[in-house]
Amino acid sequence: MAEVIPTKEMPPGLQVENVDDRIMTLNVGPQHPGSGHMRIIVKIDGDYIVDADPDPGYVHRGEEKMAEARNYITNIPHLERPVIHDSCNILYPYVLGVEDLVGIEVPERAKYVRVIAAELNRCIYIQYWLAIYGIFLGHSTMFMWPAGDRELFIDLMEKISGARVTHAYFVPGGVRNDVPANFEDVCLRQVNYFEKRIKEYGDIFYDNPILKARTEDTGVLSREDAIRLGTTGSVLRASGVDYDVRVKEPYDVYDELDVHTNVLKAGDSYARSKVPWLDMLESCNIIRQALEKMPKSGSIRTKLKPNPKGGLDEVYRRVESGRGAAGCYIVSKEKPEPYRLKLSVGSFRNLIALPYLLKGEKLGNMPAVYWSLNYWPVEADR
Amino acid sequence: MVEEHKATLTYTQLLKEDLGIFRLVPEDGVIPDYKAGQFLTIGMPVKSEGGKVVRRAYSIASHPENKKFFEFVIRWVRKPFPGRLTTELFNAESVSGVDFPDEKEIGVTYHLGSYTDPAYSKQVLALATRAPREETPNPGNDSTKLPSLRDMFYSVEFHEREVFEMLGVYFEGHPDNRRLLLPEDWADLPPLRKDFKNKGR
Repeated sequence: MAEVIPTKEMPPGLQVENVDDRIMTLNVGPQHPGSGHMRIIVKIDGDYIVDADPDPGYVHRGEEKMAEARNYITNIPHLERPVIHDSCNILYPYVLGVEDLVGIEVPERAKYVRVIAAELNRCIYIQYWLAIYGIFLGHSTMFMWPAGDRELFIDLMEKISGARVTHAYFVPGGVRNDVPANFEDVCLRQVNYFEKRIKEYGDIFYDNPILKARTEDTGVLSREDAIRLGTTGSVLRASGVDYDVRVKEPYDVYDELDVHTNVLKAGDSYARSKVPWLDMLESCNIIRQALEKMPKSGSIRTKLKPNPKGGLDEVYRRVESGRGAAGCYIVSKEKPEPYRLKLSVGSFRNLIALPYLLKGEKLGNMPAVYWSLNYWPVEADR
Repeated sequence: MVEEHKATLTYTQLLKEDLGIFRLVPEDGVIPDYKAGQFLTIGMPVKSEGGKVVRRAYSIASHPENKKFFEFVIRWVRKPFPGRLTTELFNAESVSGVDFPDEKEIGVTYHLGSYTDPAYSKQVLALATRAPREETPNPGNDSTKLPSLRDMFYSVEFHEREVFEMLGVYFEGHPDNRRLLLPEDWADLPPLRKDFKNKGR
């Protein structure tokens, strides 16, 4: 086969590729439900994947560029767009960072409300992800159940913030508005029912022998590789690394709550799909503790000055979102707008593991491996 | 500005089997001004790789007012575990490029965390450096270049690709400098530079 030699200077990004007769190149996505809004260029030899190259960017929206033209308050609604199911957690590092820059204190009650809202949102996100994971393994019940059960918490968040998914609830200085009057009772009742409900997932999904045969020992990520590749969140904890930002670097009131980190050792697709489920059970515990310790009355927001400005400063804050550590780096230059805002998100950091996991797998196992990464394409693109 | 100079190795001392002191004197004998904490990229042809010039960045250990030589203290990280010591300690949380058009520079900040060392798990280490900026960028072919940290921290691979396409900072030594998020035929300015304007604003 003749090798292709580029004749003139090639524009950056353009690639010339020599085709092998035996290897077939397959584009999965970007408009394929099996990949989400992302393309995975898979090279297959018969039924086995020899190479996989993730190509994100299909839903890139330039959030970081947009943030440079808006002030610290008007940035709030659009910064939660990368992952609307987890909108509280993706806003959390930004809000903490702005508070550091502007230098304001948050009332005690607001900190508890934030933690509760963040944990509710984590459950909403994980339920959505679990529904997708279920349907791609051909388990339609596992699509119906989480998609129905997450409505409980969506309704609860709607009562708090007024919106079903895009809450824009966190603001620098606290939360936007107070919780409704009977919130504690309603929340406790819903959480108890929810916990009972998701424990049943174990019987139908996680102990299912067909699921185990499909996902165990596929896409194994060793502990060393998980650390070396810089993965985060459930991918990291499924490979036996005990790391959770809520425990290691507690923000707001997480240091007053008893947070248990779920760690599994296997590092395969099954372990990666089980850790988020355990995280949901842990979230229920955290919400119950927070409801108990929350001050029953008090301020929920420290008012900012109009058009708050940061100094000549920069700040990096991180939280644990549904998909791993989410960080926000803000460079401020004494303007009402951030000079540079960078979102560092779990999906983007976990993406690097995908080519390693897919190499040598069968093509049919691709959904089981890919969705177990807890990957949200829109968040990775930002 | 990146300038190439030839230099002579004038002094070596082996402190341990894997640690040594090296002194370099440029061929014209002039030591340029530098600040404490800056580094030099040193290249040497390696016979085993067919005479290819291998470049690595090393921190300067001598004092900026020392105008006689550059001194380096270099530890050899053994081949079977390339960079193992540092990767066990740090993983990239984020790599952010910041454009400073007034100072004609582009800053790159690496935020590194640690999973394995409990003493560092609470902290994030920020490494910041700057590259020269050109008015009419030609990503990959102009002077906006930095040495890649990918050999040391494997996890920066996708982050550095993102900084390359968004700000036009080329990372020398990165094995895969393709576009990541932007379309392949993007011909405009790197979008996160300050002179790239949002439409309608």
